Amino acid sequence: MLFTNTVAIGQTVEELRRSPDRIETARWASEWPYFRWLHEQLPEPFFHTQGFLLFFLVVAIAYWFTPRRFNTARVWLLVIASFHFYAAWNASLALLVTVTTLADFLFARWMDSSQRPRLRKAIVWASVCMNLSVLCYFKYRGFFLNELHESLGRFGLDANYSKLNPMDILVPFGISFYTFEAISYAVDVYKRKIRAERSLPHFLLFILFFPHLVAGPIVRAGDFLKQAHRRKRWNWLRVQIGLQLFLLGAFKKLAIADRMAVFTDGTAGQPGPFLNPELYSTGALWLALMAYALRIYCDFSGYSDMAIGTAHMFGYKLARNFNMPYLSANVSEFWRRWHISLSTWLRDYVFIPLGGSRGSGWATNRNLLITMVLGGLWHGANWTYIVWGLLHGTMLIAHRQFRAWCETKPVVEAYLNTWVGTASRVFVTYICVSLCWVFFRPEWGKAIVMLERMFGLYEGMTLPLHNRSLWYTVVFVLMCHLLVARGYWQKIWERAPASVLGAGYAVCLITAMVLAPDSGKSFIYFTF
Amino acid sequence: MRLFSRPFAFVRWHKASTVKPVSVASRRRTAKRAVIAGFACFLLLSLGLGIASEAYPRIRDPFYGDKLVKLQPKLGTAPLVVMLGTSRTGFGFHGIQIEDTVLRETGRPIAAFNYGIPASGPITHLIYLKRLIEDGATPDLLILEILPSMLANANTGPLERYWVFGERLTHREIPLVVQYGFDETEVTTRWRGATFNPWYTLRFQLLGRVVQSWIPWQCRYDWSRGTDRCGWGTPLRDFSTPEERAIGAIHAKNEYFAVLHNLQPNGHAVAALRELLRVCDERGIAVKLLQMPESVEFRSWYSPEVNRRLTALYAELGCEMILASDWVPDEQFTDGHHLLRPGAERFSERLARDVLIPWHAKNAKRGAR
Repeated sequence: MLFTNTVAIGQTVEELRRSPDRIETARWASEWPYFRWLHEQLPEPFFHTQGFLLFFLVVAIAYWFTPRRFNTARVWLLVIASFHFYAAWNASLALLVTVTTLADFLFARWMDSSQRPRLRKAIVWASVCMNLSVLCYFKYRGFFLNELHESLGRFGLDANYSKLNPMDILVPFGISFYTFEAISYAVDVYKRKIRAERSLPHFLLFILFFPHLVAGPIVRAGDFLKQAHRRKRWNWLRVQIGLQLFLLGAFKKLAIADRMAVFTDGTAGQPGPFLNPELYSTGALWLALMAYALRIYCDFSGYSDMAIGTAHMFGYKLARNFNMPYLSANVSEFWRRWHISLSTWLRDYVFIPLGGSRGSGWATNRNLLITMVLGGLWHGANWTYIVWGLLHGTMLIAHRQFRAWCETKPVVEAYLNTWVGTASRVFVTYICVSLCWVFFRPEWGKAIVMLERMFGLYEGMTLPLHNRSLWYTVVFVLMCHLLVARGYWQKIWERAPASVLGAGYAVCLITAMVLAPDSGKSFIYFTF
Repeated sequence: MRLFSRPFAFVRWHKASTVKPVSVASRRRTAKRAVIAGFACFLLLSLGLGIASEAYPRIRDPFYGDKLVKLQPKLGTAPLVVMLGTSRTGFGFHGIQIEDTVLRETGRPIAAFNYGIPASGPITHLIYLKRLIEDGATPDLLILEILPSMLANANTGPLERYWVFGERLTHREIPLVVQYGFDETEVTTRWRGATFNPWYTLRFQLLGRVVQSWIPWQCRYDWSRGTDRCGWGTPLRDFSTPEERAIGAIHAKNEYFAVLHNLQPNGHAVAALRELLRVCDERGIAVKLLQMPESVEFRSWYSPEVNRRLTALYAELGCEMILASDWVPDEQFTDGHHLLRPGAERFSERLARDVLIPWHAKNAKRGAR
């Protein structure tokens, strides 16, 4: 048993070694010296790195020292900074994003000035197709070509091309996010919900603004452009709120998400249950699933908090992206609290155009399923993400049917609305959502093995770290949720003396630093 | 209860609260002070820890500091015998047993202390010896473990640089390690990190004091804290199965075979070893070099040429060399070079009888004269 484990661990470590690092090294060797230098200063587009903090400080000082009356200069400054932020990761792709944004700007202007419905429709389709083509080329090309290769192979036909290694395909950071922003803008202009933006720098800022560029929240033109035009005054309260959100996000990321990653992905010497589920016991896999649920929540909501906080310090309010999703009492509510900017986007630009819930029950269910499958595909080009979307779609349909059934049974409904009933619903929702996370990764086989072992009674290794820290973290997160939900936090921060608040911020930052694991983990949603 | 019975009840509850809302003007005034206080507090706490870590090695380098705390009560009670070495020493040198044996056989006590530190070599030992002297813990007899692989002369510098990082060193020690082949930029950067951003850089050292189980074992610094009063890191088990030993041997082979087979013992590590012996000579510290027990398989990884080179080096160093390689049978190892409890007891008993009792007797005679 132990020997088998050693061999399996060795294989996984070897697989991990085949990372895209080698591609990156080769790419940077041929890059312009200026961008190479930029990359050295800001090697990763992560908010909680020293490089980013320095970058932010420089940009913020330049921004607030630019006189208020030169708002366009401030906007240009942010556009240039955002371009550099992206170019530090990949200069060519930063150019590509800028060019497609420029094209979207021109399409919208043309559409806005035209009165001919057919032409307007053609333009909006051109804009949407252009954005989707770029997305498909980078994100879905490998998946579809490999699937085609395999399908042809099954019928004994030769595809005349070799399969693509997913590791070799460079997917631009945040492509799914800014593509959706650009599409929503084109559609809104087409539907005359908003006027096309007349100022290029303002529009460039809408897409390229660095706090939301790589992983959202997905902003809407109607909300953002108004703010971009407004002249902003320096305000300590804004800085405090921004800083507070940033600290909260950094804490979630470093102290919780990255720590939970040790339970799911393991350490250098012991790959975790999500990488090698066949080695772990049933109990360890359930605990790892709980850790993953916590990790993905704190990872993404932490990033969103940092993004919102950073934007806030420049005077921009980005929409809230999470609202304590694991306290949801059903899946429908979960989607109103989880990744709100994506779920509302899918609702407005996929579900409602498909017919929404206006048609028959079957039509509504079909629309839900299509929307969620597309939502799954948005996350990644793989069958596992499609299955993940399908499962959520199915759960939404099941919940819809159950709710309709409950309306005919007042006793059941009354029971479900008691505190025991609600607690049970929250628990069941949490379990269902967590089980779906098993598919939230590219390896289909490992997801199946994990589920199989979770529902059997298998012996195996224990988690890479002692369970105690996992339980403490779960209890801590739950306590924080209750503190916020009951409004205590709001009261504290409004009424606490400045010195106490200041000390609190320092302690929060220091705790996040002390609890950070050995190596920084990438944000999960950066890969989407 | 209210929260669960109505999921959004908390929102209504809060809005219905009768507490008077705080005005925006008041919040703005507080905001400025809170932000400034936050930055000031963070800077103050960072500065405080940075200074403290430079002054107290226990914060920066718990491997050294925690053992020093255990060593201090022994100072001045009896002739002090310190064994400086690697994790092999850490698991093998059973100080309490050695003290008992020597007392039983000679009627006079000695204070034996195990300063075995994982992944250490001559450069670490030199630093630690200098620290011990500065901290008033000069040993009367230093038994220095020689781990041949750590004497390798690699092009990239001494092997120790992969384990002894700048954050474990004080500012004064940087020139010393740089002199022995450590990369100056890397060491200085990490030292700066530990001094100016100490909460992050020293997080494992700090966290390990409160909740060791929260840290992956590769990042733990509590090695010296879990030892007994004589610094011995008690092996967790008394025996190992042949299968476990075989797996351990595979790991050990992966780690050591390539280095040991063509070992060239010279370069920075050997220079540090010579410097260490010079310091001992200068301070009048008696020194004995010792090669720890190894399994038969492990010993076979040294080629005859390497054995010749090592013998020549030991002879050249001009110190008594204790070759304890074959003192312990194979079944008393976990992986061919780390001892289990019976192995540690056997090794310590023989060390006490063959080396320490004669030294103690000679030492006593010299004292009487």
